[in-house]
This record gives sequence, structure tokens and C-alpha cells, in this order.
Amino acid sequence: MKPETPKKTRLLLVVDDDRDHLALVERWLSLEGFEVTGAESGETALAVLEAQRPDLVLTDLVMSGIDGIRLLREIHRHDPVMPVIIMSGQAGIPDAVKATHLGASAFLTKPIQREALIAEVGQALAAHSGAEVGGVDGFAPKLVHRSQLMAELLGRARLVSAVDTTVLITGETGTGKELLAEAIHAGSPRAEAPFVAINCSALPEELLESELFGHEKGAFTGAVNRHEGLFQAADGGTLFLDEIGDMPLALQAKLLRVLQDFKVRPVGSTRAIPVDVRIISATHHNLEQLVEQGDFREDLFYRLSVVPMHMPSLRERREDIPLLVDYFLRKVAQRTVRRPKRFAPDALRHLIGADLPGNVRQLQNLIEQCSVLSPSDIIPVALTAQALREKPAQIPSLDEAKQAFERRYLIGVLRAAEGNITIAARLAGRNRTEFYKLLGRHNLDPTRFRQRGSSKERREDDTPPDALRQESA
Amino acid sequence: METAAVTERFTVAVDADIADLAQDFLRNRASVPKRAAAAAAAHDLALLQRIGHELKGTAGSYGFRELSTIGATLETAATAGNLASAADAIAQMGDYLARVSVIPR
Repeated sequence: MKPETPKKTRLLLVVDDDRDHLALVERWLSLEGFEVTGAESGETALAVLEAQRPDLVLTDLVMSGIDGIRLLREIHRHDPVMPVIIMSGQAGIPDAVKATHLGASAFLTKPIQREALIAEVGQALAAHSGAEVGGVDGFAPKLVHRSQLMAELLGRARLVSAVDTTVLITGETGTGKELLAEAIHAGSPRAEAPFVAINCSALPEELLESELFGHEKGAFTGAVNRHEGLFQAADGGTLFLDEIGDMPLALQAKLLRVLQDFKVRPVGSTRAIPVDVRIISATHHNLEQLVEQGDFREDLFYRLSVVPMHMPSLRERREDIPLLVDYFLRKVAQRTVRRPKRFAPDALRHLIGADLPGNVRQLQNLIEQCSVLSPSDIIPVALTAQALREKPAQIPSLDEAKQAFERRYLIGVLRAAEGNITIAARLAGRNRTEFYKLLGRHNLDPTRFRQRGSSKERREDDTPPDALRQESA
Repeated sequence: METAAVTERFTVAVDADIADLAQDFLRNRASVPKRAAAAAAAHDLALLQRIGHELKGTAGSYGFRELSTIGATLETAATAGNLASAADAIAQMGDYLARVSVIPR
């Protein structure tokens, strides 16, 4: 069942003191299904704007009285995000630059080509529309979109949120799989209970097992305290198992058992604890292929994928890029407490056509980078192209990836050992000196992982070797 | 596309859905050569420039490319203060408007 997404009729205001040109532009836009209001002067346009709120204004530049630039300023004084397209018979670059810097969405030179006009209007509306942000009835507000593909996906997600079935979300890295899982949780009867997420690829098998199911005190070397697992932490809510395809086979069997009777048995315990948890999992792998290869249990696959959902890549939903750009620019502006910057029209077109293998996450990073580095309020195409060529952060080098993994691993070990260096070093298969070196390299302080009341008894044990005291301080 | 007819008149094919507007545009321009000639006689270069500028843009948008070019010539002549060239352009404009008609395509 697909949600209906009725197309809203857009109201456009066209301003031109040449009555015949005004009539022509009005006709072209009306034929495209827009509702159009015409004004033969800037003064009339301002009077219209007092009574109506069009979705876009298209104005001539050279007019007696209030000209196009002044009208643009007046409009943006009251409504800074209103898209305004300037038309001019003078193909003067200074005018176009000035109009663009003042926030014009596009600059059209007369004589105007019908196709160019329709294209610019469509792009400006798409870039500035906030009406279609988020899903149906406020569902998944963070999944900004206008594409039918996403609308259909969110329609299905909304339906599935109401029932407790397992959901398997597939999709490339950076597409927003966790956001979709969060949305399903937020739209479910479990919304008031916790949403707990874990990345199954970030931890070694023993730690992952302990993280998921918990452990009893003394269950293994280093288990100095009882530890409640994430299944219990998510009781009543949703547990999101990210990168489920990377879960070791032995642990898959244990997870399957939990999913069969919804009871967890912490490591080292003989007692099974009932849990009420909804499972949503995600992977960038083709799980069916992993099943065929014998790397993923078939029974678990069917248990997890009662409802499969696929997050499309950004290249499958390029029409969403202008909205996403607008959304992220506003987020940057909120964080920096400044007015949102904007991409120049050609820069936006460049982004829409760009190859973004890191998907929405890469787009977000790129927008932040451009927003920070752009010296003016309008982000130029040159900066955008440069940022795209550099592909910052999204595709880290192998060394960077290794470092990131090592840090995550050390944090996991420290957490499991609750900050006890001797135990943590043993878990990691390193001596204390080597382990301290590793911590120093990642600027990790083991005391931060200790539980209150237990640090005193381990202080002596955790004294770093003399040679490393300064380094790890 | 502008094609010479057997008679002195010629036709310009415009999109059927704007053909009525194109006819109105030509009708509304009938008095422009006279107004332009008066501006030239009064050495009102600013008005001449504006007339040429508007004609260039609007005629071009409707698809009257030759008339648009005449408008551009008038605008350039007025900007340069070249009244002789402006007079030529005004004459061409009058000739064009007297002979043109629209056919929908």
C-alpha cells in the first residue's frame, strides 16, 4: 500500500513592467500547472506579497520605480528563504553577480527560452521547498526527501512501525539506515522506551557477546563486576543491530536462541532473563549472498528479515539533494549561530550531478566543509568542485581506518575491563607497557572507564610503568 | 522560423498555445515605430534605448528573432548616439511589423 503524496499547486508571482512579456511568462507557467499571479511593477508586487505568500517570485530586473534588485531585497527582508529568479534583457555579468550575491536563485537573460524558464523555476522550487521535508504526518522528520522512492519507503516503514516484527534494513554506507531504524522505533508503541544501537563490526566476538547479553561477575578474566547487556538495557524498547552481517557465526547462534524465546543468559550465568525487545538490524552486505557462502545463518536471516527494507543510495534519489543541501546548511547555521549560507545555482547543480559514494553522510560533511570554508554567503562552484575532488573524511585512508578501529577496540576493551589496565591488557593480548603505549597514542584515560567506588582498589595495579608515566598522563 | 512569402507579407510560426498572445504582442507594437521616430526626432536617446531594449527581449522571447535583432540594433545605436543607425533600425521595425503575421504550429 503506497501513501498518497498529492502534488501541491505552487503559486508563483511574476513581475514585469512589459505587459506582453508578463503575459507570455504567465502563460508558459500556467501551462505547466502552476498558479500564477502577475504584477506590472515592483510596487504592485509588494502589495500582492502583503496578501499572498507565493512559493517563488520571478521578476524583471529593469523596471521604473522599484526595480528587480530592490524588490529582491524587500522580499528577503520579510522572507529570507523565498526563492526569487531575476530576468533581465541586459546580460550584464555585474548585475547577475549582484543578484546572486543578494540571494537570487537564478538569473535569466531575455529573450527567455521556455524550457530554460521551466527548468530554473523547477530547480529553485526544489531547492527551497521545505513542504516535503520528512515523511508522512511527521514520521521520520530527519529523513529529508521529496523523491517518490523515499516516500514509498517511509510509507512502508510507517506501517511496519505499528507492529513488532523484525526489520532488516539494507543499503550502502551513509544512506541513513540507523535514522530509518530510529524512525520506526519513534513511530512504534515502544517510542517511550529506549532505542539502543550497537555496531556488530566494531567489537571482537567475546566483547560483543558480553555487550549484547551481559556477564556475571567473574564470568571471565576481567569480569570484576556484573554487567547488564544491551538486550536488558533495551527492555521494552528497540535494539538496533547495525552491521549484522559482520556478526561472528558462533554469536549468530546465540542471538538466534534469544530471538526464539526472548530470554537472555548473561555470560557466566545459568539464569535466563526474559526480555521484551524489538529487533531492527541493518547491513551494507548482501545477506542472502552471505547465507549462500555459509557466512551467515539462514535461520537467523529469515528470523531477522520478516520485513526487509532497502535504503536507496543518493544517486537513486538525486532529486532529494537540493532539499538535503538546504537542510544541512540550516543545521550548520544553527550550530554556528549564523545566517545559513547558500550554494550558488551552478554549485548546486554540480552537487546534484556529483558522484557521492559516501551518500548522505558524505554530502553532509561536504556541505559543512563548504559552509565553513566559503568566505561569502554564497558558496561558489569552484569551492564545491574542490571539496568534491578531495572527498574529505568519507573515504579514509587504510591507516586512518585502522586507527579508528583500534581506538574503538580499545574503548570496548576498557569498558569491559572497567578501566583495569591489567585486565584490559590481558584481554587485548598485550603486556601492560604495550597497552599503555596504545592508550597514550589514542589519548585514552583508563580512569574514565572505572565505576565509582571501585577505582581505589585498583589504583595500585594501574600505576603506569615509570617510562610511560609522562606519556600517558 | 521566419519565411518569406510569395507576397510582401511573411509568416512566423509560433507555438499554438501562445499564438493568441503573439498576435496581441504584434498588435501592441504597431504604434512603436512612430513613437521611436518621435523620440529620434527629439534626440531622446534614453527613450530610444529603452524601446530597443524592450523589443529585443520581448520579441525574442516570443520567437520573433529578426525583430529582436532590430531591437538590439536600435538599442546599440541609441547607446552610441548614432541617430542615423537608429533611424535605419526604426524603418526596418516599421517594415517588419507591417508585413509579419503569425501562424500557429
